[in-house]
Amino acid sequence: MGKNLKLKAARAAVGLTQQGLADAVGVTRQTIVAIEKGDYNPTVRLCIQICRALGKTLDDLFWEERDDVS
Amino acid sequence: MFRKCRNDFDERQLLQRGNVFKHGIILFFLLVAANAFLKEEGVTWAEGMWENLLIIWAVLGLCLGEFAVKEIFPIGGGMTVIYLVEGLCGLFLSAMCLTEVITGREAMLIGPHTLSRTGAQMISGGIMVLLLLVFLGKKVYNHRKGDTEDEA
Repeated sequence: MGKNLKLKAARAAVGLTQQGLADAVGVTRQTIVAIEKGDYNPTVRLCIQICRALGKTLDDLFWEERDDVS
Repeated sequence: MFRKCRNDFDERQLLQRGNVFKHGIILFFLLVAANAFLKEEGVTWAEGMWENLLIIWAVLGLCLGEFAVKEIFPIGGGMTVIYLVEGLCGLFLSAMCLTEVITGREAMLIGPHTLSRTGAQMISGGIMVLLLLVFLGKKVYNHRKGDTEDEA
């Protein structure tokens, strides 16, 4: 799993730090770091909480476009 | 009191904690099986109850070590005190046993393959000191890495 740059960009766009986002969704900062690094695959529940905190949809942040899909 | 012991792990931490316990149980089964095999072969590798105690210590050491590395602390900040006290006790125990061995009052081995009580205690103390070092090492690592923002 690659880095989730979309999440990082969305977080930066609303001016939230990793700690700020972590507090907003009730997890540790290390969990946000792990998600952004692609080291941890969050549950749908946490994905939804993150999307709500950032004002985005699941597709915006977590849908991966595959190169082989035309 | 019990309320203080409750934790607020997030989903990633719960997953990691489960993995730590899994590793602990696997190591425990392996060590118990190895110990049973050695017993069957007539090998006693430590004096008296110390075979069993060292197995328990090895499993506890693995779990506590992984907790320290992954920063999953079941009772939050209280774990710092536990690591410090346990490490200092281990240091004292190791030093005491080492002194006894050096002065010749006790031996490390009581047979060709059998650890004496003192030797087993020294190993237990060593595990305790190692855990403290892992805990402190992780703290230093976090500090040097600058455990702040945007490390991704």
